[in-house]
Amino acid sequence: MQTRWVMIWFGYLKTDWAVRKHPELAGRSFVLAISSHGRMVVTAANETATREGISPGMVVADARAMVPSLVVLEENPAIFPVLLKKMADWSIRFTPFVALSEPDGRLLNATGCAHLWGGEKAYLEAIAQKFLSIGYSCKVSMADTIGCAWALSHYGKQYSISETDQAYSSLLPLPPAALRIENTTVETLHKLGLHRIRDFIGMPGSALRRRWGQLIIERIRQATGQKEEVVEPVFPIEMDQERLPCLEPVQTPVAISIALEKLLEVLCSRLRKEEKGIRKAVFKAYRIDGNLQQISIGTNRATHQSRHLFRLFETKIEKIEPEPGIELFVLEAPNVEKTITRQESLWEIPFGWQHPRLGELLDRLTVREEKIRVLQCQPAAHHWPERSYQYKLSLEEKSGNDWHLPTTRPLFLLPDPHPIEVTAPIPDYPPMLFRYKGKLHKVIKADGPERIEQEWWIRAGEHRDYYQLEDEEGKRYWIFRLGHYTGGKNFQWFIHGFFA
Amino acid sequence: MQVSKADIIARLRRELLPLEGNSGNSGAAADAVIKAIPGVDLPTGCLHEFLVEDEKQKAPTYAFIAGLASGLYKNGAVGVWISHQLKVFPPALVQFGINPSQLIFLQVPSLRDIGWVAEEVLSCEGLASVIVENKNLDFTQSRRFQLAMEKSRVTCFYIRPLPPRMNITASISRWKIQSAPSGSIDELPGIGHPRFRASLLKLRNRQPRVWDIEWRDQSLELLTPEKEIPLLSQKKTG
Repeated sequence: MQTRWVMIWFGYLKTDWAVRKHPELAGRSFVLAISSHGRMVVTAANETATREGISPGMVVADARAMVPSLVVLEENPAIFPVLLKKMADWSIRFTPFVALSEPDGRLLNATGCAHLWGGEKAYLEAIAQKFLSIGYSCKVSMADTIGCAWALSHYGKQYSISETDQAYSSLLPLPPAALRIENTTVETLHKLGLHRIRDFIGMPGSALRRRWGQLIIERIRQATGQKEEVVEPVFPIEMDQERLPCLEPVQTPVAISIALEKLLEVLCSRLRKEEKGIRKAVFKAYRIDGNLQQISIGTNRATHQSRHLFRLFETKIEKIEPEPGIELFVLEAPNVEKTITRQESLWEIPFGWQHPRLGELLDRLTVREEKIRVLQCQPAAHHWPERSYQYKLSLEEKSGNDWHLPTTRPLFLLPDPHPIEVTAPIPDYPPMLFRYKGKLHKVIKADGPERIEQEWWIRAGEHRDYYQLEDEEGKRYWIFRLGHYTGGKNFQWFIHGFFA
Repeated sequence: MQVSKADIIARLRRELLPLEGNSGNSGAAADAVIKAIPGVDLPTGCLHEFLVEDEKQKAPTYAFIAGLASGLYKNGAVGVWISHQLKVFPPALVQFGINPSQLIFLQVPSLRDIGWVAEEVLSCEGLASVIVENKNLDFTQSRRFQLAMEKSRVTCFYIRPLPPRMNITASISRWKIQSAPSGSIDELPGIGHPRFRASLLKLRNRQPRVWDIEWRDQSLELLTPEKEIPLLSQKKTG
C-alpha cells in the first residue's frame, strides 16, 4: 500500500494560542514579541497584522510606526513545546503515527486511515474542523511523501491532495521555497528567474549541486519519493494494538462496552492466529476534550479468550468517565506471551493447575481486588519447622509429591512461638504443668523430646527441644524449650502449635 | 481472507471434542457422597458448616475436614483454601490425606472481601473442594453460596467461630469438632492417634449426635459404634 502523509500546518499557531488565552484580541492586529539585544523583536504576528505588512523579525518600534493600534504581547517561549506535545495528543485520534514538524506543523502517517472517515477529502476536512473548533486555523494537505505534503500545506490551497504517484507533478507549480531549502538559495533562484519548481527540477543533478550545494538535490529527491525520509513518531507504535474511532462521541456505558467487546474480538482473533495470549491489556478512551481515560487488567496466564478478558474489564468500565463524550477507543496489549493450544481432552484430566478455568477464576479475583494473594504451597528443603514449606505466588504445575516429614507436626502453627510458664522435672523430662494465657494445663500424656537444631548456615542460635503434650481436656500442644539445661542459666519454654 | 494454519488446527481440535465423546461436563464427583462416618453420608456440592469455640483450637476441625475431603483430592484435582490469615501448617495436611501442593491458598486481607471471593470460587466448576475460614455466615450469604454450588457441584467446608446466638443458614450440615483424649498405641506410653469428639448439630433427616472418632490408617474410624452419646451442653441451634 502506498504510504500517505498528512501535513498539518498551523500558520498562526502562537497568535491563535494567544487569542485562546485573551479572547478580546480576536479580530485586532497584534503581535507577540520577545526582547533581544535591548529591543523588542516580533516573533509572531496574527492574520490581521500580517495583512498590514508586519512579519516576524521586525522590531516592535517599526511595527508600531506602521500600525499605531498594534497590540504587543510578550511571548513566553516555554509554553510552545508543551503546546506542541498537547496538539500531538489531539492528533492521535486520526492515526497512530504522529510526528512533529518543527516549528509549527504536525505530520501524520495516514496510510490506510482515510477510508474510516469516508475518503481523503473528508479526512482532511475532519482534521481541519477539529482544530478550528478549538481556535487553531491550519492548512492540511495529503501526499505520498513528507516533502510534497509539506510543500502543499505551506504553498498550496487549503485541503490540497496530491493523488497517489502524483507527487512529482503536484510539485511543479509551487515556488522554490516549498522545497524546504535555505533562504539564500531561494533568493538566487528567484534572481535567476526560476520562480517555479518546474523551472529547475529537470536540470541535471550535478549542475544544481555545483551552484546550490547538496541540500537542494536531497530535498528534490525526498519530495518526489526517490529517497525515503525518516521521522520519529511522538508516540512509539505499540505492536499489539487495536483502534476504534467513533463517528459520533459516545457517552453511555453500553456503548463503551460494545466498543471494548469489538476491540477484544479483533485483537483476540489476531492473537489466536499468532498463537499468542494476553498477559496485560490496557483499554484507552480518548475524550473529545483531550482527556484520556484508561483501565487495565492483568491475567495470571496468557489467554486469548475474548469473553474472559471482557469479563475482567467489565467491573472496571464504570471507572471511565465519558463526560463530554469519547471519540476514540484503543486497546493495547503491552505484554503478550506464547500460548500452547492443548490437545488434552479436558474432561478427562482432573481440574489441575493447567486448567484454563482455574486461570480465569484467579484472574477474576485478582483483577477485582489486587490485594488478594494467590499462594501455592511447596515443600522447602529445611528442617526448621517455619522454613519447611514456602508459599509461592506463581501458579506452576509441580510434582509436589516430595512432602516427607515426621508425622509429628501440628496442623495449627503460631506464626511466632509464644512464651509460657512450665513446671518440668529436670533434666529432659516432659513438663507436668504449663500455663498458657493465664490458664493452667495439666499434662496427662507426653511424647518427646525431638531436638531441632538451628540451621546454622542461615541463622545462629540455640536448638529447640520439642515435646508433644496432651492435657486433661484432650487438647494436644507442641511446646519447646530453647537450649540446654545449664546450671543457673535461665531457659525459656515456648508454645508453638496445636495438634489435631 | 487467508486462514492461518493455527486457526485451522484450533477449529479441527474443537471438532474433535464431541467426536471423543465429551459432553463438556467435568462433573468429577457429581451426586457423590462423602462417607463421613458409617451411616452418615454427606452430600457433595453442598455447604458444610464447622463451628469453632476457640480460635486456637481449629486444628481438630482442620484435621476432620481434611479427612472428609481427602477422597475428593485423589484424582489430582485442585482445591482452594480461603482465609484472612493463614494459620494452617500445610505440611501437616499430608498426614490427613491431602497433598498441600494440590491447594491454592487465597489470602484475603479484608474480611469483607471473603464473601464475594468465596462465592466466585464456589461457582467455578471442577474444584475438588473449597475451605473457607471467616468470622461469620448469615443466611443470605449461605443461600448465595448454595445457589452457586448447585451449578458447579463444588463442596464447601465453612469454618467459623461459634456465634453467641445460633442463626439460620442454608448449610446442609453443621458440625463442631473438638479434641478428645487419645488412646494409646499398643499399650505404649505417649500420645496415640488423633482423636476427636465430633458433634453433628444438624443434618437433614437426622437427629443431632455426638461421636468419638479416631484418625487411623488414613481414615476416620468410629470409636463408639452403636452407643449414642447424648449431646453435650450446647446452645440452641437454629
